[in-house]
Amino acid sequence: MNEHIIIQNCLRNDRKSQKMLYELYYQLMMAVCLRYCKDEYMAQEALQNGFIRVFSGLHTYDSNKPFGPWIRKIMINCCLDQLSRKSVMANLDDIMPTESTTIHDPEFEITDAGLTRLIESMPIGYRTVFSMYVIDEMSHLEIAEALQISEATSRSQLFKARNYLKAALTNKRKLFL
Amino acid sequence: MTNKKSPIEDRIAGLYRQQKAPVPESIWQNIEISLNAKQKKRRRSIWLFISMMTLFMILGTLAVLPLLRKTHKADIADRDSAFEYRHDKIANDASEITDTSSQSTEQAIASSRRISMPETILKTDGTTSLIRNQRSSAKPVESNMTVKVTSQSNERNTTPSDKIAAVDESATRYPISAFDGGVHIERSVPQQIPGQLTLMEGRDIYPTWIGPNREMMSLPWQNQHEKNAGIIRQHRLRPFIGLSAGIGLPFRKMVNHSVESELYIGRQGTEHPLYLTNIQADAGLLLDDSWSIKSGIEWQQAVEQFSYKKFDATRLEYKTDDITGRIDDTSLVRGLLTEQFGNKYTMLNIPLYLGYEKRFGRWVFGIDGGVGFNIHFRTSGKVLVDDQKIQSLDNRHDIYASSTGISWRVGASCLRSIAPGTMVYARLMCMAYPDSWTLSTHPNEIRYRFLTANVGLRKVF
Repeated sequence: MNEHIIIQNCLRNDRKSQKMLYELYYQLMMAVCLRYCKDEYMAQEALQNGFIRVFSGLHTYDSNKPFGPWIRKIMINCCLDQLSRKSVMANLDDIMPTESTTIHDPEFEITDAGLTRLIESMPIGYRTVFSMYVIDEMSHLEIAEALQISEATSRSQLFKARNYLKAALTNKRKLFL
Repeated sequence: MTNKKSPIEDRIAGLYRQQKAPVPESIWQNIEISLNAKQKKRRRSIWLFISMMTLFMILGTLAVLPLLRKTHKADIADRDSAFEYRHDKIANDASEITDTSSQSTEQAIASSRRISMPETILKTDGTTSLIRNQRSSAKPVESNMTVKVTSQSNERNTTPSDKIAAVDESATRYPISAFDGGVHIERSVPQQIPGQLTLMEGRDIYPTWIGPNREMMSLPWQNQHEKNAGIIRQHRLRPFIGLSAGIGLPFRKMVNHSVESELYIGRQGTEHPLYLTNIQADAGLLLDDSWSIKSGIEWQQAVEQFSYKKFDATRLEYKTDDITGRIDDTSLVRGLLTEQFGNKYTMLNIPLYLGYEKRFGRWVFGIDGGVGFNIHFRTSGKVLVDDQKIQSLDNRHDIYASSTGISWRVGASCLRSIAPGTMVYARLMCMAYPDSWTLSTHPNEIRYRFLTANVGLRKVF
């Protein structure tokens, strides 16, 4: 069924359509939640709260714009709420990169799986800003608003995340040589 | 616009965007439970609202019902003003009431048609009486009616026969079945002096078969019971218009969705509600000078002071050449930065009030309550968007909602009559906006309550 029709039905609180919309997006959104949250349990909680927020606030969605980015943004906000509730992101500036075992892992390769593991090994502060900027295409202004930090902090976090990634990749290359 | 990315970052983005992850079945069940609970809560609120409204209406009806049944002499006095009476002197009565064979007595022969008269006039000694047909009457009266009409010393040329004819003529206008056994007890006649000719106007005062604006005879009542028959109190429904203006005190409540953030603390520190101004034009209906319903249009503007101070702010200062206009020199200045602005929240509401008022001489005291529906909401001013950055509200449409939703109102007013139908009034009102003025996606929820004092003018027609 057309996504637009499903949304229209969801606005009328039609439970079947709500389930259809959920089934359309739940796997993609779970991946988003897993990217931002610390663990799977937290991601599931964020996903659940996110979908409740989606259905409750569906009337605020502008049907002239694509639905995907809108639901993604809500999920990200839910994840960030979840993280701030658990005080994971208490102070982004204080989080410094720790020595990651993944970088020196002999099994590590620059494959898709390797890249995924590399991103997952990033400190949560870096990973959040990196994900928002690189994967979710958010601007520094949007990141700053979502994380309630200054734009400068967002830029510096991204810079540090990129350095971390570069260092990890260089390190890996050296290991291969 | 896309962010600048290296090839490896592009690869990461592509990898993650299409990534899917398995989700346990229990998630949807939990979502469904939450949605059902929310729906139940919403339904409960709607039912609560409907019950309150029903209760309000029942109480209103109960309050009005005794007034409908109430009969008292004041009603008769009220009605007197609506009718035109022409009475002769009572002293002449005795001389006017002569024997039935005199000139002043006429026999009116009813038409040969079978007419069932709701009221039959019988001749008695020196007077005339009225007998009402009851429903139990076996046969309608079919007769020659003998009517004694008192002689009148007024200047009108209407003769009694005209009057009888008027009755008869009028009677033919309606189907006979409408009168069969009809009892017009409820159509009571105001107190009259026996044997007087009375001109009556108004729908409620005479039997319908006589017809409006006709002269009819006044006849003595047959018994006291009929004389005291109830008169339905006439309700007065009067339209009115009003205009008022006032000021108010705003009370703001801000909460954060999750934990207290720097933005929340920053906004709490920089935004201070100052006052509210409002103008309202309304129109309504006033029932029996006590119950009122009114609606109109209301303009409101809440003003807040935005005040931001930063102690170690730096500013780049330019020095330009007076002749060439080019920048000569630049320097960094460090010091106190102060930003002050008056934030304005402008609203247009359609209020609907139900009120009750009571008159004490020239003074009227009233209470009312109702609901306001917001049709327009506009914000202007400045706002802190992070711990240091200030932005204009004109450029930010992701903070405040496009409507403030509904507002509940309750008020008390004191009115004083200054001219017939014109009153000045003072009114105190509490107003609460239950919905947050911010968007649901914004981390801060802001709700307002106002206490307002208005003065106005009301004209009742």
